[in-house]
Amino acid sequence: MDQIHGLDELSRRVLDKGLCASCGSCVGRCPYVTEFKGRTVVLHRCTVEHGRCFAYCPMTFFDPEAASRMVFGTRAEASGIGRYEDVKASRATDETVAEAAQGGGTVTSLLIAALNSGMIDSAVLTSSIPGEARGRGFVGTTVAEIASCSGSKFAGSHSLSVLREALDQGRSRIGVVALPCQVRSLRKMALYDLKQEKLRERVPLVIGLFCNWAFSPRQFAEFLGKELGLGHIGKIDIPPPPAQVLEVETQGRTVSVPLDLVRPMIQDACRVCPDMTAEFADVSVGMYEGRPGWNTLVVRTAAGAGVVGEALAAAGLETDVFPSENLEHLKEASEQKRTRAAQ
Amino acid sequence: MALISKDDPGRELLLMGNEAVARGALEAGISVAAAYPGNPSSEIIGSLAEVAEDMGIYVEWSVNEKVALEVAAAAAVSGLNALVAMKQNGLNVASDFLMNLNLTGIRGGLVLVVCDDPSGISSTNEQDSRILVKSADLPLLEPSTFHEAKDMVRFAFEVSREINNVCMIRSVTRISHARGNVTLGPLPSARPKPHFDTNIILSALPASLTHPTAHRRFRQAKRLLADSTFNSYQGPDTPELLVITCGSGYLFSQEAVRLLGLESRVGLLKIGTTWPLPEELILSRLRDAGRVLFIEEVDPFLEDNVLELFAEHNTTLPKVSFLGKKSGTVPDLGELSPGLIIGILADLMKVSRPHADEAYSSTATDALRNFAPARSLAFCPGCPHRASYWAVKKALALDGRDGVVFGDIGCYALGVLATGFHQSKTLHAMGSGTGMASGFGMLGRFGATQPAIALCGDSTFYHAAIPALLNALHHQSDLLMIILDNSATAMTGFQPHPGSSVNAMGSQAPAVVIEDLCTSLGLKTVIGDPFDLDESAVTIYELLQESGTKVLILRQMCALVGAKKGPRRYTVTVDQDKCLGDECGCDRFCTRVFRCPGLNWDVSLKKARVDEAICAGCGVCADICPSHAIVRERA
Repeated sequence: MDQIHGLDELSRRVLDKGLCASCGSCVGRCPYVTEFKGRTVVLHRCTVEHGRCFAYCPMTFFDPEAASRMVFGTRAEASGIGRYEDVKASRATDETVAEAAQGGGTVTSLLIAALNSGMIDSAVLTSSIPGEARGRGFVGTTVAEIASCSGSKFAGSHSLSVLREALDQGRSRIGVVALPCQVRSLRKMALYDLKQEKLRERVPLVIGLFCNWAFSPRQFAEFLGKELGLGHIGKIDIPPPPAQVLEVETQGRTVSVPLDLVRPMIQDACRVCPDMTAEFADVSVGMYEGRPGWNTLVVRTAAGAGVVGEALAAAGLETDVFPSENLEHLKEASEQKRTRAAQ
Repeated sequence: MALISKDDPGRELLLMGNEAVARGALEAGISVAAAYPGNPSSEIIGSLAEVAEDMGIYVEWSVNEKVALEVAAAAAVSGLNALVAMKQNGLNVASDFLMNLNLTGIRGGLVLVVCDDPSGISSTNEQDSRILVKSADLPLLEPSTFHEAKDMVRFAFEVSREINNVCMIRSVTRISHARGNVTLGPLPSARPKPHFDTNIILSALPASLTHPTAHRRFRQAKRLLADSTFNSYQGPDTPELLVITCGSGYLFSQEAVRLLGLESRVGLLKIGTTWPLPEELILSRLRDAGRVLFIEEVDPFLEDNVLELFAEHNTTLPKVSFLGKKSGTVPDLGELSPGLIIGILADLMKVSRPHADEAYSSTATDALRNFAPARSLAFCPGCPHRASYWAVKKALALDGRDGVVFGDIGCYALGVLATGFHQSKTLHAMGSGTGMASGFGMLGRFGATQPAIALCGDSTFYHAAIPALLNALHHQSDLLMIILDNSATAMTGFQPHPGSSVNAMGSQAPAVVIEDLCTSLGLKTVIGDPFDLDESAVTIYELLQESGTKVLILRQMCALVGAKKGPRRYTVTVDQDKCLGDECGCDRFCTRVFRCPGLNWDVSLKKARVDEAICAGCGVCADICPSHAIVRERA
């Protein structure tokens, strides 16, 4: 408990320094902290000495060895894309899923398989806020609800805040789709579980998403609204290199914004984050650069292998070989993020 | 029938000091009484309002003290007797008019009663009002007993009519709010018909003519007061110590002398006409006193003036050593008490203090502990201000620009304390919050980024905030004025104000509606319910994002008025299964932060519970519990 402090210290070390990753792990049901328009806001001083807010925040501290022992049963693999069993190319076979997907629809397919197999009874997801550039947490319990959350979000969304909602509902097998920072938070919850809520057992599946960075939700929204004068925001995408643009669907048209223009809006938390491929997830999913309509699928744990197996068995997912040169390239990119973060 | 209007001369009644003042005004045959409520003065006009119809007098709660004095002055310049009452802060508001009225004078009788609040028990400041009479050239009387308070008012009207100028009376909390025996005098049967003599212009200008007149009236007053029976001496002819005292100090001193058995050694010179001084009486006593002690509340007013008199006559007087506030013998601020004076006199006279039971103090403390909960000044259970302040606090946190709340005078002045989450960052005079916010809202041109909020109650809005709001509007100051409308002048006892549909005398009156006034000025005006915490916070947040002057009225009836008018809205309970107590992680949010006195922390159960005896049933706390353990049901 030595390293776990309370809200004051969280403010000092993370929030006041602008290092909040907008993961949402601290804002569920706490009367002292709330999320407002994409910002984590402290409302009042809390005197709890060892707070869940501080303990579960991915930015306060993270012990990769402890997390690795718990998740993989081995020492941490601090290079490349971290510890993994297998890397595949994958995509959804269901046309509706594939249609709605930003990439290959792998995440949605895995979740549907996990739900149908009973591996999970609910899923903590990120849904889009109609017309806005940011998302919000959502607890899905049906295939339709899960499918409605597909598509990438490019700004922090505090989606972990609804994990509390799922826990309060008494859900005992919660699957979570999480950015690398959120995966770290979930692993800290399982490791420290300050209120003995059986968080390790109750979150049996963590699907990690590849992530290089996310925009600060408030800055990004202000930029799109005030500086670019864009109204109702639809789908957002970054086409593969060398495009170097951000494509924003807005009121029936697509606006291309040079990436250099939006880079200043990247959260500072992302600049110091070493984890591109959600190294502590059960399974990580990302884009497959150069193969449109396909995802990169990194299987890391038995639970990860299990859900992939279920999806394959249910014929919701198909996989293909992920060429070794692509894997090398992915490892290189991941290493680069690790290096940048250390600087 | 009310006590103060009993037509029963010679009868002895137990009256509050302020009621005695009101009775004195009735015996003096007043036609008009006006005031803006302010403790400790409020019961004077309050009790007159109750008998206004029976006595055939006109009584009003004016919009502010200056207007109250003007209303009374209009009667007085028309030949009537009029009384105006206020607290020390009120005198400041009224002083601009007073410092001109003193130069024109009046034609009837006008008595200005100022009730000072030593220690500022129900005030923002501590201030001695007596200083003003010297620059205003007006006579001042200070009652020491309740009967004297009544008789002094009657006498003050005689003086006022004689000198054609205002006569001032200064009371203090322990005279105004304590009770004592008062013997009734006769009530007049007829009142003069008002007439304004238009042959004479009442203009303070030119001062070269009016100031000498004021001086002449003052000299006249000096002659009238010189032999007043309100001044008296008791004690040996050549006392070892002469106590010169006035007001509440006299009773305290009398008690101290008696308890210490010093009657044959200490003389008490009681001064009732503290300005101008009864010079001959004082000089005669100074001739036989080697040592003088001044006992009076707040500033060394009597002390200074006697020292001045002594200096004037020093060549004919023996040496005297003076003790008082200046020598550090008596505290130079705060209320005095018999105990304090006993200590001072015992030390000076080298006698031992009366023996007190050693266990008394601890027994009293223990007894108190069993009855009084340990908490600081707080808003009442169910007070809408607590909810409003939480909404403000939340909105400012959501906004994130370190916004500044300019506070004002009213119950909500407690917003500088924990009960208002320390949200009010300034607290000065009536309406000053809006005035300061108006100024702060102009500082954006120099790079200020903090948004400004002016907080103001409904009564304060009418009293002094409207000019400040007009100033902000006209100069396009960036501020949000939040009017905490609890539909009452709550802090002083629910007196009506211009927004009320009844007046002081209980008659129907047209209400000036705040939002109608604001919208007629072209101000963006939003009305919210402070009990809806989250919505209020978001409304405040959104208004803060807009430039210019905006008004938000957070309207919810004062919980005390609500309790009088009807049953509770909700029955509130804490579901003991859902409340996780210290296990929750909420850090006792309801009882540590929100702190409604209706919620208690049960030390044995280590959980929150509702104190059913005092819960006002507002139901707001049900929205603040993260575990939804606080349950409200329609009562």
